[in-house]
Amino acid sequence: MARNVAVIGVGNTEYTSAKKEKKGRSELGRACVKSALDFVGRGLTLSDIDAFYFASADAFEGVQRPERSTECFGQGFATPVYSINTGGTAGGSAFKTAYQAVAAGIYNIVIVYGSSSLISTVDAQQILNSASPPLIEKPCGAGAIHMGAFFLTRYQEDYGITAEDFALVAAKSHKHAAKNPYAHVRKGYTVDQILASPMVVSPIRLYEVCPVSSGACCVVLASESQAKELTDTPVWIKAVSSTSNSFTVGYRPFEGFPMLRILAKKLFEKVGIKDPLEEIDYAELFNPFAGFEYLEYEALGFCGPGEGPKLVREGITDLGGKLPVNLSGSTLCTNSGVAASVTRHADTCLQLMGKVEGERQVKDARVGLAHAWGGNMGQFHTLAVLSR
Amino acid sequence: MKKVGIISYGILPYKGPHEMGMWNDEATFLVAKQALDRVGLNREDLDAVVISTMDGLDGITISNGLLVPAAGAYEKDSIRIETTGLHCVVAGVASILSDNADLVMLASSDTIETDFNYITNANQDQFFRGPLGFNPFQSYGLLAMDYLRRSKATEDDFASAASKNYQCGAANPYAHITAGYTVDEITDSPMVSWPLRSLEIARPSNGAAAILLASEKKAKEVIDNPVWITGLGASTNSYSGSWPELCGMVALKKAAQKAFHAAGIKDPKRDLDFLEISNPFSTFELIAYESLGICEDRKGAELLREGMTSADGDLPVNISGGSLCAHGLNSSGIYRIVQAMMLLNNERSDVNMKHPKRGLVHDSDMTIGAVGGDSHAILIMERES
Repeated sequence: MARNVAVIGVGNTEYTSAKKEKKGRSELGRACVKSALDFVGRGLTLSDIDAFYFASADAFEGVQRPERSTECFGQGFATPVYSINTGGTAGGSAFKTAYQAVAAGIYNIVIVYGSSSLISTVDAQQILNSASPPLIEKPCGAGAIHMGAFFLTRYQEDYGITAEDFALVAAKSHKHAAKNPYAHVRKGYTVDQILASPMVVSPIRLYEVCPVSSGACCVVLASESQAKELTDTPVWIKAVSSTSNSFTVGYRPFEGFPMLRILAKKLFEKVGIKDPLEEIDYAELFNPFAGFEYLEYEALGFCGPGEGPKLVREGITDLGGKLPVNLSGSTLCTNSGVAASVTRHADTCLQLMGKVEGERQVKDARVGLAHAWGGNMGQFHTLAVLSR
Repeated sequence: MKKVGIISYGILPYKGPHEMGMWNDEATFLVAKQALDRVGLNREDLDAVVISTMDGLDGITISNGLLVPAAGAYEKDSIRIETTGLHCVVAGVASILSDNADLVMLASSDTIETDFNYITNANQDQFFRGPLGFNPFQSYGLLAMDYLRRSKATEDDFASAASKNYQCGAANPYAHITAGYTVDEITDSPMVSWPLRSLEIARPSNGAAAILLASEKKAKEVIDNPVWITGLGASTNSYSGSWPELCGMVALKKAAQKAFHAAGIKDPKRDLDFLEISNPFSTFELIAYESLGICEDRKGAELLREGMTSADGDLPVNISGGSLCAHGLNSSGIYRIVQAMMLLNNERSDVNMKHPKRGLVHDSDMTIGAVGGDSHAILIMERES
């Protein structure tokens, strides 16, 4: 039998612009890991950690295998460091394999670390371009935002989604980010301000695109017996998995996220969730482009096709609604590369622990969902079901 | 305790750069398909895929995007771990023992030509070692120099260790270098990074390898006599530290201790039938003897001279020819597991071993540089009969 595994701690650094970051990779790492150990308290130290799962995409860091020279993961104790790179989903992938290793009894206490990725690169878009298929998409200059635009243009055309609809969900994130001490863009842009912001790649406007942030995030995972000793607010990991699409994309219709739909169905069946809107209390969904949140609602079964904007208009996914989503301000307001995919898990856990700052705490949240998206044209999704 | 079996493998013969004539996704597809076909399984039977490669060596960002579909992951769970192939085995075993999978594909490939010096220099820190131009060859030289200083080994011992590997590799149909270099040829080869000569340092090879991991139930359904994983250990060395810390192979010792404990191995010299270790430079084999506990400290050269670790010795090390004969920078770990499976399955008719039951496989990312920051992992593989 697999062992029960809980998230017992969360670590963060301050978030800022990658271009303004004054700290190096190891300094951020030390600060982040220390903040997680302090969060747990009860005498937990670096030497108690059995393994580190380091999530990053090498080129984002301007070096190859960045964790090798990042001296803050217990290497002094010869603690194993696993380098997980699946692009934007690396945090979700690391969370998955770390959970499995603890559940399998291989390790007792581990840390999943999302590296503050983009502080060493001159141009993140050139790096992201090199993830595209090299014969057609890459020479066309495809970067991250183009991936977003393909999906959102299709969504707009299929369901008559308006510019206001996209601005509305962006404004929801901006509103909450303004109150999150661990968010990067805390301007609280309104719908009008978002609509007045310049168009970047149609239909995505400037305030509907994530920034290039700096900051690291980590979570501490422990087996049941350790978790009970170390915390009064364990968040249990019920199920985690991922899905993979093909690399070539030319034939894809970009109709929402069908692979996420399949993954969610599999995972919800496993944990016995029949009606996600009713049974899930909080979700952190990966939306580097604001409109993605709608595609994710639909793939996860929160609403029917084209009904995403309705959920936001009716306040169902806002604070006080039936299923609040992205009260952290989401990836839209803070995207320090791969760390953002760990942040989705960390922020969901904070909600379930009841430890959210800035009047964003959801009352009695018991079941949470954390999602990550990444790879070439969103080839990968990861999903984790968490419970108090 | 539930067990995990290795039930099949796929491998392409290793060659020199430019000689594969295919992309890494094609190579990955071929070895993954071979592994499934060998035991009559289909892609649909897979629960998860684990890829062992590094972006820098694949020449593109998020290269698993290209590789996981080729290994059969479409609509399935997948992950890529860059550390080593054996770290990927830990992930595969974890997914099976945590009841998340019954059948896991592990695949790895090396077919892309990259600038080896540039990529390996790019994994050093950007302030000190990086700007100094640090590369793996220099790091190997430093470790070899340290070993000369603290032991009674000579440069001839290093050449002899290399030659032992080359002689073994000459008979291995999957090895890249099959020239069987003699000690004289090695000591005559040009000095590269003192005290290591050109033929004592492994040069990158191209090839691909895959294995299938299965839960105990699934393994017994599919084949009669699976190879079982009985021990696993992984550990990472500090990047900065004192000289003894950087050269002390702390991580290798810790990884081995963990694997030995799990497999119930008290005396590795007595309890193991063979070893397959990653030795990207000749001296490392002697260092590994000591770190793995098959001889006392500073006595590696004596063990080698006694012939204990030769192909016909009591405890053969690197019957495959080791890294000097096939050096896939991404795939070295999976390649060595395949080599160990061939020995445990008695598939190497040319090898004179009496039904080996238990073997050790070592893998390390020293392929991209040593002296700090390198990870090591140890896998113990066993057959019941």
